[in-house]
Amino acid sequence: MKRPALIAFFLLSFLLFSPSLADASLKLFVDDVEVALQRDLVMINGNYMIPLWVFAEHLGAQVQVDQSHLQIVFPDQTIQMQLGAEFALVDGKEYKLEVAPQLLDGEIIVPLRFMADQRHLSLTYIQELNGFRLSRKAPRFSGLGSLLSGEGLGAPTEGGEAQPVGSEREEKEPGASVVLYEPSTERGLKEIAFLGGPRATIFLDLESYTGYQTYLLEHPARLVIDLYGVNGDPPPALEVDSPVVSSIRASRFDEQTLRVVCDLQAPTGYQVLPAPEGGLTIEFNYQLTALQLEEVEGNLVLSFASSAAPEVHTTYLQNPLRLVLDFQDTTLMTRSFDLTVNLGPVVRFRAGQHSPSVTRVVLELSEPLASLPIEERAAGSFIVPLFQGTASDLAAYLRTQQDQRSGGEGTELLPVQEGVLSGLVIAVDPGHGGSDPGTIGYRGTFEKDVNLAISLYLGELLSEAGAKVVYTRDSDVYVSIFRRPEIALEAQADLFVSIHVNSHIERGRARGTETLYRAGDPISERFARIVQDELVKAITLIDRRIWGRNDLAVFNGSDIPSILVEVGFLDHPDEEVLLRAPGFQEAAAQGIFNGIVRFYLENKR
Amino acid sequence: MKKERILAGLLLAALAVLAVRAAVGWPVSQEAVPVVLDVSQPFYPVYFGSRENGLLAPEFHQGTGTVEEVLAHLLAGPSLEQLISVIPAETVLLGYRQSGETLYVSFSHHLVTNHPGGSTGEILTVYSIVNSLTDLDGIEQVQILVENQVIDTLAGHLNLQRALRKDHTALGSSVL
Repeated sequence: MKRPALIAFFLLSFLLFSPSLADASLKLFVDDVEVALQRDLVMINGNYMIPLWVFAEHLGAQVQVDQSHLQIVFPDQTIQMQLGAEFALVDGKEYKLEVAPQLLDGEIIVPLRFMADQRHLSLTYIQELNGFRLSRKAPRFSGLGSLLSGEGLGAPTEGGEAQPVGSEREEKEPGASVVLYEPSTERGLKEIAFLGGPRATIFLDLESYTGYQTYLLEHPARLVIDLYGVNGDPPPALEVDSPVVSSIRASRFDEQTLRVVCDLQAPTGYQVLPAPEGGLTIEFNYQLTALQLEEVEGNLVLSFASSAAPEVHTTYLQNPLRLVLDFQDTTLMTRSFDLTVNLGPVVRFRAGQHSPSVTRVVLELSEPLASLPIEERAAGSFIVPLFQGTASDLAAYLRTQQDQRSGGEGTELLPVQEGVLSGLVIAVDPGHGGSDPGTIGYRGTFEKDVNLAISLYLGELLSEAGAKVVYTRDSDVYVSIFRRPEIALEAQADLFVSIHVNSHIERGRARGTETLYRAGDPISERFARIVQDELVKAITLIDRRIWGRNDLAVFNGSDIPSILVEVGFLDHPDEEVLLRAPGFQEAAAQGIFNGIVRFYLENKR
Repeated sequence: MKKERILAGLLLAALAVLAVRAAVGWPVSQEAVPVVLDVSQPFYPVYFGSRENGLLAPEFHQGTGTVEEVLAHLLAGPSLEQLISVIPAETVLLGYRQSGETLYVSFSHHLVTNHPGGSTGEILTVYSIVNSLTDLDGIEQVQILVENQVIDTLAGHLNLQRALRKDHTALGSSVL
């Protein structure tokens, strides 16, 4: 007897959430008599609605309508409702309705499932007949068979559409009919088991049931599960030590209904799943707490706490640019929020419960941002690392990382002491600028912009470490290459670092990182070697070594230890996407910075 | 000095022949463009970009070589498949003049305006010209002019206000 009920549940879910079926012309039967509907059954918010007059004409009720007040009087029960009000009084007891009764084309409609529940009517969907059947009869799981065999329905009094179906009679799986509610005897709840796990799972070991309804209530937080068609004694209550559930108790609600109440620490979303072996499994959502956007070691991350890592679905939306992260099977335990922020490209950060099982986080952006897979930082503490660039930038970056990951070296941040560079004057020279764009990438990226971005990141790091930073330019202006070393000299710079990105004569031909230094100057050479080392370690592009040159204008004008860093090749399509990405630019700046610090510390000794 | 050069030249030429033969298959087919050098006779290198790396590699031509011949080869591009032209498209030679050991060579503005940029690109273009011409007897340095004017730079890195000497660091050793 279990299986049909399970199948019923599946099909009911399918039925109620399948909009296409709502459009089909559904029929309605009361017992074996087809109801002559004036118009199609309507679905509102996932609930089928039934015309009120059906209860008068087919189910023995007296229906009184007074203004907006509806009174449906059965010999044993009075149900009162109000048009537009999401509650009902059943023999004076108040119930919440998912959908309010309403007037549609001159007809009053009320929620079908609620009425069936209240009347303890079995509600069956019969696929072959494309209709529901409300039945007052005893259990009949072979309901389809009896319908098709013509028992009572062989010659419907109204609407002959059922007739041809009978002619197609064949052995059907019971799944073809959906029993939504069916009174019966000799069914019990054998046991309540708390299975725990990251999603706090409860198992209700039911011999059988005909339906159920759940309510998540607050004050105090609890999940109520009414199990229909279940009799017998309720099992003993269960005390649970879990962050989600504190206790589970069962009691008899009425003759046919057993009520299970799960006392919760806080209202938490849940999912009810019929277990394949029978019974019901209740899985609570992951509880999402401490949702924050933060910078960790210079990288933007979204951090949160949860019992385990949920699945995250990401979407990009334009106008305004947004990165949307949907945390599956989660309940946001904090209030929803909407914050104006200024963290990297994120200008607005909001989160909320998007649906009972999905927490939605929206990052509104000024520049593209992509998310990486969740990482567990500590037990129960997770981060979603964010990459400043588009998803394709990220893909290219990961590809390059994979290509280059041979030596197993990672980007190690140097333990920089505060003020480690204090007293040092460093000239930072962003190549090109203004009317001179430098080289231009496939996607139209100007070298001058990439150079400036990396230089400004570098300058920030150097300043933080106590150095005095002198830029040869800090905006998009043209400065002659002969003027640049003069600026460094005038500022009495100790080091000169020129930042460029490269191009081969044949586009896309070359890739990698190289550093040029003043030929014949051992200090510049050592400086270049260390910076090249650290930069390659940080960005893991191909190491094109260091090259001594005596013909670069920026080296000619001074005797300051000087290097010119060519971070990558802008004319190489893969490297261009990296060089455009702020996350990569920052990583490059960090690598160069690490090199400068290391050179300075080693040179000081 | 000259002796060393000839020895180096012989070695390079032998390598070049081997490489070409290896590249086009043995025996060398009729279409395979040059380059079976008679190393007992004079020959001269013209430098182009290597497909393999960001460096220069020579293509050898039989003869003593003149400024016109070298420049004509540079502008025409390489015959060897492993090499690529490093002179920007549409660039034409406007003239040249030798003064002592310095050769002044003037190109059309395309040398600058059609150049893709990058220090690697700039070094390849400039030193394909400088290295090729300074291999000729009597030329020690080359100053590149554009539209008959002295220029600051070609692509924003090299100082081209002055004449340049041969640059050995731009020469690849692993190319041929």
